[in-house]
Amino acid sequence: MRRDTVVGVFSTVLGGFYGAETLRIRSATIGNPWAPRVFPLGIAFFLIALGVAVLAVDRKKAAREGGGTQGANPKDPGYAKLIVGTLVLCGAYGFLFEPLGYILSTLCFMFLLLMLVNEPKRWLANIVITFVFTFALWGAFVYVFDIMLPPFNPDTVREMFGLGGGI
Amino acid sequence: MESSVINNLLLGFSVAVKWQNFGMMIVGSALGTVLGMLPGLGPSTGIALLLPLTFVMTPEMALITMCAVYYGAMFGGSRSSILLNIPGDGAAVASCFDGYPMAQQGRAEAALAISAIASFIGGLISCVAFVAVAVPVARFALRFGPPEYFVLMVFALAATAAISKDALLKGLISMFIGLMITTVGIDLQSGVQRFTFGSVELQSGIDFVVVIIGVYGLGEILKEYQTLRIKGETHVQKKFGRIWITWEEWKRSWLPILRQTPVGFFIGVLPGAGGTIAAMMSYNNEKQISKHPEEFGKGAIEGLAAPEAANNACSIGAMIPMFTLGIPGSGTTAVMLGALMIYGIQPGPLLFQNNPEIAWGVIASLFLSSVVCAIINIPLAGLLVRVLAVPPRVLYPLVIGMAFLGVYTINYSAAEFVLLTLLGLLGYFMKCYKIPTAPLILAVVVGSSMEQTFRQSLLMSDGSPAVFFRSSICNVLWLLAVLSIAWPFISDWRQKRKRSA
Repeated sequence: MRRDTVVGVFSTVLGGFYGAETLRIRSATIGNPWAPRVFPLGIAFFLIALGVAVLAVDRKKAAREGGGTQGANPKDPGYAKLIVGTLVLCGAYGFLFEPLGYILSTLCFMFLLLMLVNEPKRWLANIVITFVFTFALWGAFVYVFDIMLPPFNPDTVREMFGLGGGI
Repeated sequence: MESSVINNLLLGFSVAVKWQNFGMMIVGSALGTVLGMLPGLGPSTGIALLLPLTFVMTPEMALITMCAVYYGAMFGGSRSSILLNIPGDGAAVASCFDGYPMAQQGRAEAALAISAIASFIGGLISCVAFVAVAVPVARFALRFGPPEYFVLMVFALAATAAISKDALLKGLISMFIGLMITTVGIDLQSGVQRFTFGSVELQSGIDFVVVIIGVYGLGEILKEYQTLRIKGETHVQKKFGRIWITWEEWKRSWLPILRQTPVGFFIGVLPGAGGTIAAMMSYNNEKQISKHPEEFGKGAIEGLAAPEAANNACSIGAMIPMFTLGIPGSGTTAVMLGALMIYGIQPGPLLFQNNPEIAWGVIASLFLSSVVCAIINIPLAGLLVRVLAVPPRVLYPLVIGMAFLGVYTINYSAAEFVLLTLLGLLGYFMKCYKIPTAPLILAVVVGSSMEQTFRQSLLMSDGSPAVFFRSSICNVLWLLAVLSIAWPFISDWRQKRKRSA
């Protein structure tokens, strides 16, 4: 699909969804009941209108160029794996950061991320970088910026994995 | 210059030279230079990543640090242009044209030196211009009420979104997505929940820092993944002779520097235009004026000096609307404006009256940063460019790690990590589909104030939209907004006419 077609559809669908959600906003009890909806409705209207305009311009352009996709830059064949892997690791880091604590979660996150991006064959460098990064930042946050980072929390871990009872 | 201005400037210097502030200025300048050098990590991403760390600082120290990072990035952006032919950021693209050929000819030392000297002179002259312009503009802005502010924000957003004819519609879409993000959370005027989908975390809204780090930081890295292995390893020159220029090279450079500094400054003041346009325009200007245009692109020193001066002048000019009107003119100044708001400081005309130590401290720090950056970038250039040898496959995971920790410090909660990941995905999508991200960032920063001023204006007029045309200021700003959207079409039409003539 052409690049601008995707943008046009995205904007129109997003505007439609946002507009529908705007209509579900509760009315204000003080002043104009519609006041909380006016600004978002304007945004929804423009998102839909701009999406339609992008689609219309793109159709004209496609007709002029004789169809086909718009030119793309050369890409690394394994890039999708890197992106999906990074996103999965980021999501997991978000869920495990507080229960596992900063040090444990960051050691795991950074090591896996480096293994993914910097490749497993550089495992020794990845381990060294992971440890230096994790502890250097921990020192900077705790001692320089006076910011406490979460410690390991066994109760939350038990709760997360459904392990009842205390130790 | 008025004596009050001089007194205020002296007050500013007394703030800027406090050892803590001065120390952070040096750290910020060095960090900015390094961040500016690294392709993919421009000043906006750099400041966004460092922003949470400034929460533990005083407001003036935080702003001085951020300005130093911004300024340093402008100096550093050209290092990788000269040595690798890869611009550190968009504004350093023009520095590749003659900087890289100079390095190829064995004149890397002269190229590194002239880029720093031109940046220094361009920045210093612009600081003087800033002092001269800031107070009158701030005084004028005291006449603004909610309707004027609303229209001013419309103009700033329209000008940023409509930077080119091809990207106009997508720029506007980006802007409306940004405005959309600002409507999430409890409505400040009515207390009604909007778009929270039952989530307690979303009730306080989406913090703009998360948006900036997600879209600029994470999104940029995800995009860079596409070519991570194709680009391969970079081999950067690490040994240099004396980093300086000859008298002959100076004679060729000084006039282009002086000529293009005002161009860069003026472009910086305009919302949306930015360093890339300033640098490109000054390069083309110099090429047209030059007696030896055939040398441009083959290592002409004036082809490097002119864009470097304009680029730094532009970065200073861009701070004028932010400080005096409270309206950011670029992605980077939007981040800085957001930082001011975190501290509960309202940027705009009253900043100079209510917080003179902040406003003037930052202005004075710009003068000092020019000197600090010149010192960092001339004698220490050989040392700093070694950073360019760090492979992106190591650098990017470290930046991602920093981004997450930065977000944690906003609310001391990891709840926003998922949001950051989703916004990173949004940033990646936008970059892949060539949707400009700067309008989104600007909209995220000003969106809430924009809605508040919009509703306050309607309250003032009992719901009549005529209030947005109540004064000549409003009308002129509407005209400018329309003109900024129409300008890419007018410019295109003029070029076509020129070609056909």
